[in-house]
Amino acid sequence: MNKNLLAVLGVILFVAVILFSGYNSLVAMNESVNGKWSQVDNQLQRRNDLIPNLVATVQGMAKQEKDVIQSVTDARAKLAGAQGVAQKAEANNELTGALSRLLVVVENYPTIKSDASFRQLADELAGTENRIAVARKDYNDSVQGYNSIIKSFPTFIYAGAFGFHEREYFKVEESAKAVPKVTF
Amino acid sequence: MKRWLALLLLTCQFLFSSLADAESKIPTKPTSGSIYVQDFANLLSAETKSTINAVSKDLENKTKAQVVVVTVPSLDGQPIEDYSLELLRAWGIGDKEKNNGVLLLVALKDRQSRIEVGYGLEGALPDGLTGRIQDQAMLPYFSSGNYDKGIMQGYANIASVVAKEYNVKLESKIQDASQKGASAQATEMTFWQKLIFVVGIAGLLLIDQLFFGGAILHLLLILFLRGGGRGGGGGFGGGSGGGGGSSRRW
Repeated sequence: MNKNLLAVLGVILFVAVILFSGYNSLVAMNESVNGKWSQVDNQLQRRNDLIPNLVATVQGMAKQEKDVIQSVTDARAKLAGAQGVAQKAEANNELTGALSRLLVVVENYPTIKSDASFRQLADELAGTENRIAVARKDYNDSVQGYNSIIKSFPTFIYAGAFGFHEREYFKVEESAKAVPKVTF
Repeated sequence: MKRWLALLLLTCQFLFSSLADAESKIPTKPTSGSIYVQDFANLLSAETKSTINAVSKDLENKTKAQVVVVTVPSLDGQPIEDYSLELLRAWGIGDKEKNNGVLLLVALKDRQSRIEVGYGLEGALPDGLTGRIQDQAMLPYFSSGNYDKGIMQGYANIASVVAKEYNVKLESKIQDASQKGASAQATEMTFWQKLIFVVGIAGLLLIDQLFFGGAILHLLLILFLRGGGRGGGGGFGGGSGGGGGSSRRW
């Protein structure tokens, strides 16, 4: 038996095992990033669905606050049309800002604040904001894990060839980080 | 070889640093005994604690759902939303598959409360309802300093909603408490219904005494006392949540 041949076969096998296991874990991590992203997307969608009711409730009782209401409606439309992580993150930040301004305005209307359906909507909205924050953090954590694997040795040698590329973080403006709090 | 060693070390370091990171201010997870109520802020009476433990145990046996009450003196500057989710996830409240845990958290010094709902119960306990439970059953007592009563009422409401979701019946104690609270979904019995109920129970006891020599009553008492005395036991199921629920200040 040729010892050299055995050695070469051994090395090839070794490399193949590393390659396969690396490839498989990349697939798994990539899927996990996708899963986490769909959570973010779901919650963004859920918030967009809540807004028309909120707008209708506030509009009925505070007609003069047209500008703030309009900015929420616009931001919602923008988020609905946004594509990709970066665009959605930006539109989301804008909507968060507009909503917190709306909630500040509502502070001046005791009738709205004490309205049962508004309180429920505000709770659902605050809950969704919080879920978005949680989903975003989970997503960013999984992106971090995935990206650091892709860029580290030995994965970076072949990751690109198999179509694994760096994923985008869901960025948040520092100012928008504070979830608008509704306090009663 | 050296490179691999370096990589290994790096991995170890990463693991340790992330462990250190995860070890934040939330209290350590109780593993045995009465796990369903952790009164770090000393707000609850012994009676409330034993009721909560008994009812949660009952609920878990029937539905695998875990409803847990935690009071803390302070959040140490952390937002209550982060604190409660971290606690729910770190302790693993709720079943691992069903993610049906609920955490009722009260932070005394911060004057904040939160009902944190695991993924699996978000349908039964939507944010609006958790807010209403706090508004109607808890905050009125909290603002007069009666935390024991407020927490008991809030807990009773949550427990009865969860029981309703899974179509199970809880011990009568909790039913009484929740009827006074916010949900009011359990219809109150009329005078005649109560009378029929009492007469019915008396009749059953009579039959038991006459024909079985009181054996059934005896058995029930033994079962009840044993169940009540045992308290917690199992530990948490590994459930998770995504930030559902709502928070209040008072």
